[in-house]
Amino acid sequence: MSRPRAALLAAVLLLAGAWLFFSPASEDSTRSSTTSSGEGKTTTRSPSLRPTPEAERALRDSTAEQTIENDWTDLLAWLDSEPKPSSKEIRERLLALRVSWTEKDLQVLANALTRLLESGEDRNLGLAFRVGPHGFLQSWPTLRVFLLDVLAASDPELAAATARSVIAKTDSADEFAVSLRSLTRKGLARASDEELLTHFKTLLGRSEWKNSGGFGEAFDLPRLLGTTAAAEALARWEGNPKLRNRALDEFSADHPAEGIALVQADTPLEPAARAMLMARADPADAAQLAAVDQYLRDPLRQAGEINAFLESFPLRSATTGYRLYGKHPAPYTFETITAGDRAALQQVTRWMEDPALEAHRGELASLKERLEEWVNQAR
Amino acid sequence: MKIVKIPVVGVLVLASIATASAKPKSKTTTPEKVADSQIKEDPYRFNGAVTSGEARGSGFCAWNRRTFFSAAHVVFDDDEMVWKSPPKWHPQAHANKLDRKAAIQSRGFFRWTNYAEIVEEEDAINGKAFGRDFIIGFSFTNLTSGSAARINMSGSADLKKPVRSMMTGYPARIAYSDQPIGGFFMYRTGPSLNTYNTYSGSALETTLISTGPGNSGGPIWTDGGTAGWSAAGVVVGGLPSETIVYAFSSELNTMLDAVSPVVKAGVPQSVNSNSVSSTSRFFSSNRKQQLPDGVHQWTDYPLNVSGFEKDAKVESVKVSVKVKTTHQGDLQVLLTGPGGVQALVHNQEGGGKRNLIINSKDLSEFFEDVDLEGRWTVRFQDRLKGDICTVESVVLELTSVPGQASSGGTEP
Repeated sequence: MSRPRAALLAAVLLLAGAWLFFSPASEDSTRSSTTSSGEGKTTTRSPSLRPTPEAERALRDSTAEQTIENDWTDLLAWLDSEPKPSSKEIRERLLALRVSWTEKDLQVLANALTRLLESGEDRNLGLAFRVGPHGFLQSWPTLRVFLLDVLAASDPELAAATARSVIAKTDSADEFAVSLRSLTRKGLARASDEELLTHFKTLLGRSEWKNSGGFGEAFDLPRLLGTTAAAEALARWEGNPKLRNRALDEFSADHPAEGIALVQADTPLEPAARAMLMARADPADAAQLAAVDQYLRDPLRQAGEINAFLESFPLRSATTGYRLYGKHPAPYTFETITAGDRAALQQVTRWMEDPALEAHRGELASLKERLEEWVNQAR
Repeated sequence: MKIVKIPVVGVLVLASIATASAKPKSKTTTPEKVADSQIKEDPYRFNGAVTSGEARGSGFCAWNRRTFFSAAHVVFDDDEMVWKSPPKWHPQAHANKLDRKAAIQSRGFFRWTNYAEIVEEEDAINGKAFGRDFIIGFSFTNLTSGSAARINMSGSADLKKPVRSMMTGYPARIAYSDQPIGGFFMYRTGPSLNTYNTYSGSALETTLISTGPGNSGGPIWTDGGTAGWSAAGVVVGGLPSETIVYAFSSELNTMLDAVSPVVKAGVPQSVNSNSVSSTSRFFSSNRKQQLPDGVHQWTDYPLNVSGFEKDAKVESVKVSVKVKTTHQGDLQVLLTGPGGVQALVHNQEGGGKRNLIINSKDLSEFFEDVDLEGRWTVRFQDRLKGDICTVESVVLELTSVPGQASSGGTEP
């Protein structure tokens, strides 16, 4: 080995030894050893020539935490600076920051984010609440919403624990909604359906949140749960009818039987919304088809509602997009639609021959024509 | 092909061809009728009229022979919130009246929504209605002869540059001159060099281009040179001298994911029209590491992924792990992709069983549209005390899908 290289190696070893001797990690291990002896003896430190894996990790974590804290301090200063950064600049910086942070050790990130959230520091960013791919946000109204969003990309259990804490205390619909997401993820952190429904009902009860983007996006939760109880909570909510009916429609596209159950239970619904729930029925399912038959013959149904039903049955158009909790809706397949169309055509042919349904003959004829074309197309 | 003059935008580039036009100079590019002889040529043959009840609009068959695009406001009334019978598709219409025999009854359509905008409507955010005002209709029969038009998934980025673009469709009126157009005749607006700016959501706007009512739902094409025209977006609105389009980007994949199971069952072959094949790469670690016993703390195996094409997205993700242990049930394994997207690989299953060996577990569904390049991390926890767990190897197999023009398969 050449002399300069040997000198360099010696210097590195000396520095490593000195660092280990004074580092918090080595003190921790010393304390641990003393405690276990139970005699309060002073243990002898033995400077090692190589940092232990634990010491290496502690140094790496400490550096990562410091970087996150520096990023945060810089971000606050930048947001407070004059001239104020534009919405576009803020959004782009936060997107870049999320990428940078999620490349760090995720445990360290979770700890750092929890501390930043506990600090109470926040800024209004003037951005809308917008969901992006995989339920992560791509635009955040406040810095705390941003932190909660990134937290969900770190340690799942710590994120869930923090989420419960936020849900219990927050006055922000956006914080509530994004925190709830951490409880919906598959795995050990996933809350029970009962807990999630309780949180959803709490959200529904906060009428002061009605114009918050997060409040709206939380209406994806009943679809994720897929239970009649969740749909009923949604249907009985007396707020924004457009929001309620859109969520009910997306729910019933994924869960048609549960949607029909709402109608059968005489849940209060607008006639058009009820017609759409019934139109989502799967005609290949005998029980659902029987429910549809019963619905069509119900003397309490007005002609306008029945016409709306017959114009869309079996309804296979649908909405989709980025969703906060569940995967983006994709409720239908070629096989399910074509099997349903064949069954529906048989049923409509029977209805056409039934004198009791004479009043709907015109609409039934149009429906039969459409179904015949679809069945032929699918052959 | 006649070229409308553009006195302001792109005048230098188009100067030589602009002099060939016999038309008087116009400040704004306006629609002109497509010649009968061109209707069956690219890109005109992809066009069709779309009708829904009394409403009429334009559309184009793209991505798959059984799918067409149009504007949402043509086929759905957001105020009524009631689904009607699906729209009809009239391929290559070019006459005073629509040919009823040629009409195809579509089976349905998907439209984009988000819940936040519904509650924010009371605040009347300007232009939001145009943000993602488009649909993808689907049918169980082919909507065009030959292949479907290609999608330019970078349409949003491309249209913000000065690219050669053109709109086609079925305007009922030329908005700029308020001149009525009878029947259902195919018109083109352009080609011209234009630069679009962000309007609202994924909608872009530009000035000095005028289409007209009825053109909603028609395509905006970008010129790919020798690759031909590809659909970069959907015309959704405008004023007499302005046009608004929904421009395609990777978010379109969400809609394509919804429609794929409906049309691909009968159209099994998937192709990438720009002939770039998928690429698979392996990333691995053989670092042997004992996990802290019974500690709820992750031990990470970070894998820095690089070497794919720029902007390449995930087509498939497969993970293999080998952990030596006397009890699989102690273990939780998590895969995290760039941006924090996560998927559980193993969740304490296999109580009582020894060594955890997972071979090529397919986790693709959790990572759709995720950027390939960046840091992926396979994370391990030994959550129960008593059994020692040692990670022996980690392998991540990633396959890319090219991010540019794409189609959703054509009939073999």
